[in-house]
Amino acid sequence: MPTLTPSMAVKLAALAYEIKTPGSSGSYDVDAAPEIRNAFSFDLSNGPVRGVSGSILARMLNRSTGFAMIGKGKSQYDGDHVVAIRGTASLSDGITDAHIGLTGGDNNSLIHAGFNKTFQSMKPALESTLTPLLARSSTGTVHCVGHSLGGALAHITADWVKRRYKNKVFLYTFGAPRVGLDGFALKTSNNIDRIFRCTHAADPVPMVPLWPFVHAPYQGEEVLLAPGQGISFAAHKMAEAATPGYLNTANSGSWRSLQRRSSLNLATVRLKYDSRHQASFSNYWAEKISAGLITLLKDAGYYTAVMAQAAIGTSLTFYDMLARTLEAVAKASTKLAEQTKGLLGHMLVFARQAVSTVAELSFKFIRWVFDVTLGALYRTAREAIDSVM
Amino acid sequence: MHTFMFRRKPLLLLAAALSFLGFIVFSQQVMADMFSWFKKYDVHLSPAVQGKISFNGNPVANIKVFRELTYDKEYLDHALTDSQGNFSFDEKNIRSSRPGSLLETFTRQVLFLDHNGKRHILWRFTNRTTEPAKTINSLLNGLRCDLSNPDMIYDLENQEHPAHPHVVSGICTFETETHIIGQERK
Repeated sequence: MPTLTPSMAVKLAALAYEIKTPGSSGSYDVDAAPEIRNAFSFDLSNGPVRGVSGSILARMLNRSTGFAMIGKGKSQYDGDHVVAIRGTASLSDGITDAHIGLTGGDNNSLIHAGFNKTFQSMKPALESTLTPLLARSSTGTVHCVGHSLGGALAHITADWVKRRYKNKVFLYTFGAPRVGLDGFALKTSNNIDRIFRCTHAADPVPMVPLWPFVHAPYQGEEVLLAPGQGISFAAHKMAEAATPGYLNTANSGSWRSLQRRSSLNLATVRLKYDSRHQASFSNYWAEKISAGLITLLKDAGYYTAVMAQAAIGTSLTFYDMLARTLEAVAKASTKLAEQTKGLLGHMLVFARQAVSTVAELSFKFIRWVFDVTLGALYRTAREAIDSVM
Repeated sequence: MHTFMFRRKPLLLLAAALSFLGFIVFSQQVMADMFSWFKKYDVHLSPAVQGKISFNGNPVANIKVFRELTYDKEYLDHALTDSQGNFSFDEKNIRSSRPGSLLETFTRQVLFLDHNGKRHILWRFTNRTTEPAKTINSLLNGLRCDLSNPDMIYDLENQEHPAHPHVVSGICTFETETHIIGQERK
């Protein structure tokens, strides 16, 4: 059961961008690097798997474009298949919007509504292509690959393929955002056979949407292709001309040689107000603050209730609800008030606010802190996605 | 129920509409660099092209060769071969109002023609940068396209980014073969 090498996976993710529309020549064909040609063949004579992107215009006109291409394995990968999926800029609205829409996914857990909608639009075509192929090779592995929002779609696809066909499924993503809540992350971590989630430390896209969205593998490891300080939208790019560029950093023949980093996500973190100035606008602190928020809610006994509330959806936006909850948490005891103050202070320093003093713990103030924090992160993430599509 | 409520309270409806508008305006302002889409950037789509069309060794005169260049949208032009089968295109660069950071979006070059009811792809190349590539420039300067040639795929030296060889396909062969690393039938 060979895995794709990092360099094969990233090249396939890049190739998926080429199938969006055919030109006047009528040619959808893609010319892959030798290592891909020797391992997989792509029959694009009937076009790629099409889907409808998340934009309102595309949905109104039901205008579909090429989203995924499916390759048939040969030689070392005989019996295997690959599904390479591209992203789309219109989905960026969804993940950088504080009004996150959630919906029940195919595996009965909550996922991002925009991602799911695009997945559902391409599912019939995926199914009609994969069913005859996989009927002939029930033992082969299905490799699902994608960059950016294509990585999010690859994640949903991998989970669906596993449940629908029972084949072995490996998932490879590069700079992909979070797809669903902890239920989805947990279920897909168990369901998908192997997950290679590759990131650059400075890439903002894997940091969004913020908690309560969680990455898979749940409590697992990511492949950190480039360490780095701070957050920069250029770190989301693939191209070899970019720095660092996923095509450069993943240009390796083995996963073993690459650095791994375990997820901070679910660690217990209590932030002290006095040490807030150690925070910075970085991936590390985005994760740390997320963990601090979860810990605070757990310490106060509100965690389950907030998760349930997020799942049901209310007339309040999620962050309004969260701010109301923290206001109540802070009133419960001086200890919890201190912990809340510590969290908010760190958020302000993270968001590079000139003044990081937390004078009050009112709903209004807490909501404002969320706004500046989300604003700082989502701006960079939106730039990153707009820049690659 | 709701419409009834609003009919009784027009102010409420007005407030709702205003807050919705306010939200739209606000969310636009939040969008990072508001004016980044005003900037224009140079994008290289194709170097100058010179080639010769033949069929079983005989020049094909007066045939239309199409050049399809894609960067976000398609730019299509064509040239006619002369009595010797020679054709040429000028270099093509555009100013794009799409974000300059749109580097990820590929630029694609396809040269094709129709002959005896059959479409021939002469050349196809996808470039992941918006910059010219030296190897591509030199190959496109001397294309030899015999319509009886098989469809080939070429791996070529990438002089700008050596770890990422170019991949080109089509029926053309080249006057200079110095940058060809590998080739096979498609």
